Amino acid sequence: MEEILQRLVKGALRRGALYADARGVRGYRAQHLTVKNGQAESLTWSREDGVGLRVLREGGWGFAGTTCLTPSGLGEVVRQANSLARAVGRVRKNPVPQTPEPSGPQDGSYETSLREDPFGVETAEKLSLLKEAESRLHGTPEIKVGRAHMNCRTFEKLFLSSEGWSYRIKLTFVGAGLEATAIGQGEVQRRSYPTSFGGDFAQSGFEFIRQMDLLGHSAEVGRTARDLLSAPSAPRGTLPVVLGSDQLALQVHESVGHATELDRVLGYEAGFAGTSFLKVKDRGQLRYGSPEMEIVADATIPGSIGSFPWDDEGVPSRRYPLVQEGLLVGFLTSRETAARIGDPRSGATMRADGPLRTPLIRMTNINLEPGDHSPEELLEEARDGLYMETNRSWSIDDRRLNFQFGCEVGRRIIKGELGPLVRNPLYSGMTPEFWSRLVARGDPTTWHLWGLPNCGKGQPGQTMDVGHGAPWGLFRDVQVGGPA
Amino acid sequence: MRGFHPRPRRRTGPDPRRGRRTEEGSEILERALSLLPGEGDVRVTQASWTTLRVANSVLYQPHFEQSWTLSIRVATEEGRLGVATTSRTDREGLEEAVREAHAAAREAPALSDFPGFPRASSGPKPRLPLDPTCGKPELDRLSRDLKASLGIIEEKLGTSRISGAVNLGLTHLWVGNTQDLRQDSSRSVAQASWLTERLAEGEPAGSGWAERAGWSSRRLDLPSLAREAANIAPRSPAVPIPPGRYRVLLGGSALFELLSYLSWMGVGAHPILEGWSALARQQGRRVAARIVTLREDPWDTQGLPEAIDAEGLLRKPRPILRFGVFRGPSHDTFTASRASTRSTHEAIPPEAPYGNLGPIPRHLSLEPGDADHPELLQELGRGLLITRFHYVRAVHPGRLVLTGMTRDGTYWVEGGEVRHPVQNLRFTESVLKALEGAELLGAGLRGYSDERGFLSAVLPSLVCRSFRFSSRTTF
Repeated sequence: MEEILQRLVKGALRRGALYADARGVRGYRAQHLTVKNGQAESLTWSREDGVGLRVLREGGWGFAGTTCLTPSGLGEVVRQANSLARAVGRVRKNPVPQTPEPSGPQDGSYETSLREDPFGVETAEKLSLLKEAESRLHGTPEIKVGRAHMNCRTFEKLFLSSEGWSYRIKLTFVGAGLEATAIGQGEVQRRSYPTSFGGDFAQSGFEFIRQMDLLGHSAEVGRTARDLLSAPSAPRGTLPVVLGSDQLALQVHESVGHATELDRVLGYEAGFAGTSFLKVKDRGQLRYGSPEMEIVADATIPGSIGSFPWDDEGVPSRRYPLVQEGLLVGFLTSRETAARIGDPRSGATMRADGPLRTPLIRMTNINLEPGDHSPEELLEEARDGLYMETNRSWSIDDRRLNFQFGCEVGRRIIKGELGPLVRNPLYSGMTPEFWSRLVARGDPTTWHLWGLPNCGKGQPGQTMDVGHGAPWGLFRDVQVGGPA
Repeated sequence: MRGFHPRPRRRTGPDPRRGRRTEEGSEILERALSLLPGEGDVRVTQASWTTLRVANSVLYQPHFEQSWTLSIRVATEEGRLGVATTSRTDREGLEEAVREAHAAAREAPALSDFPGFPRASSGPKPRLPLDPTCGKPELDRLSRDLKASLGIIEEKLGTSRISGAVNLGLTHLWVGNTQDLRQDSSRSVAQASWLTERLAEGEPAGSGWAERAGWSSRRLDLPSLAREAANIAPRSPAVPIPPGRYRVLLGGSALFELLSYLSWMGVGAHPILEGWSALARQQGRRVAARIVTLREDPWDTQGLPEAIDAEGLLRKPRPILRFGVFRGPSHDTFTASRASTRSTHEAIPPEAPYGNLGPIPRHLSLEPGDADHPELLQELGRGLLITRFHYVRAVHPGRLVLTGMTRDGTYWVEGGEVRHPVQNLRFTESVLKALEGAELLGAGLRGYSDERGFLSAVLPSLVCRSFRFSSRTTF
């Protein structure tokens, strides 16, 4: 693979590229296991090897990727990447600045730290765990659909640039989750564990899945789904709201993470993903939220799917603040976008979801730091309000301002304590206004670093692994109300 | 049935439009099938895709990719199923994939009702139109069209920011199984969009959108699409209006978003058999206004025609909603067996994540009316003209209640005339309620699709009696 990458980069330079980098993925293996209602819904094993070449000419970027690692397939990659970069200049020249990074990896290497290789665990054992966990969801006849899933992925990525940087990393990701759908009384209700949309994910060995204790939680997941059928509707109005860690993580993702991506801020994603309400000049000026709001981008946290040693431009990963005491202080940047706003260094966020895609600015681990309130103190401070956790639906406008989130579970907060279950809770707001109402953050016991493997962005679309750490959070005067 | 439908005709040999690839794909298919230890099926896909993306008024991050993918499904005698996919087409790669699929199958729970793999469908395969240049785009021509389009938009809007994308793809699919079924089919996909933003003092002050999809790259007509997007961009500041219920005229892009959810969350066999679809137990009942006749039409040449499904069965048109009455879910061989009915030949690939989705209609076609645009506005009378929705998600899947934002051309209409742009609104509404209130359909049809043509539609514009908007944003 190293020879292939060298050949691609040299080929690009020979054709007049100013810069080129090549990525190769080999030994990509993935296993997706889903058990639904006692049957195998999807037992899929996948394998993909491929390479991608990014070239920069005077006109702009060009990219080509292939799974055909034959001489003709590779020759086509060099030809197409260069042709496309030339086409940019024919339409309209787009000079691309790049930050002169002080250092990049020279034969760098890295491997996910794991205790138990997930591909060393027999499929029979994995399926046995899923089958048992899924069956325990069905403790009540109202559960019409039970689903237990597990994903394991591993791959080796090699990188080589015309600046002489190169690295080789081997990453392993695992994740799992449960889902029970109850139907009755004219309602359809779903409850997930540990969170929705596939569960929780980590850069880890199989020990992460063992620690999730799927068996220990499944019966309760089924019962809660059933109880939601007869629970009263969530209240409407303006209330104090406590968001659980998983929902607050998604709130960070949608209303801070995407909004601070500098390619969006600069308009490069307007056509599909959208832009941002933030402007470059807002950095250091705009009050994003209350002084309780402390958000960092940190790609160095061990064990998260949003962590990596070098990004797909070869820039070393790092940690830096995005929002400090409620003030916007940073953006997620690349070598190009950082240079466009005069920053000396890239924020090291460029990643592609595979060898056939060009790298884009992607979230790393975008975390709301924990505060000092215990859960009891948060509920006491809320006094009478609503607690919500586990996302059910999410939507936000194309500048990341107006949002509406629905959750699987709500509980009334009555006199400072968690009260009865309510169904179909949802809340809505405008981003800076909402964050200005953050009055307290939960302590580290409420903080969890969630792995989200399904962040979509780009044309063509890419699905990225990102991480979000969040505690519980108390917000004042939130607009809440169930669907029509 | 409207539109041009090709006459099915018997194939008499390799399709000359595809040449060597046909042989190579067939060989890989046969090699993989020969390695299967028991029953199974195999899909071989060869794909070339190009994306020419415009951002900040320049061509930005253009992209080309070429891939081979094999999807192998094996079944044991007890009905245990395992699936493997691989990008490797050499013998070692095929053996590895078959081994892994079989290993997964051995451990899978037995499906006592697995009906086995289908035999080839009877009848001839339709010969559908194909544009081979979608696999190897004519970059010179496209560059000229893109440059001309940028010029048109800037001339119309003045200072502006232009975004857009052209997605061109050519895919070849070979399917075979151990029941001696062998089928293959080629498909070209051409999809383009323009987003035009008028700038005032450097800031976006109104945006417009236009998109089109079809099987031919040349039919995209990028300059005329650019003109249309520029015309939609508002020339005056948007006015806020309160959330509430309004009459709406939904343009094709907006309607495509809603019907996409109807497709995979409403009409698919999985949600219906499991009971959580809004259309569960509704077969034979009226769920939309009489004017709504929606078909799965994989032969519609105004859209993205496709000859075979992922099981290798010949796709064919069928009604989904006929005069507002739900005619039944999409089925593959397995779900049809469970429902004691016949496959509608709408199987999608068995591997994750598609496998979880199950069979769905992927070529929607809504019967048009006879109203032109002024007549649609006249029928709307007083209400909102919606161009496009953004970030649509299901709030309540069981009722098909969705939420999302309007975007890129939302206008207030009064007295049948467009009065002024309005600030964008969030809707929270049931797709079925919207279709129950369908009052008038446009005569004009256009093809829409996602960027890779997985889901496509041929749609007119639609006037709906009532649509609920739950909040608004500030632009």
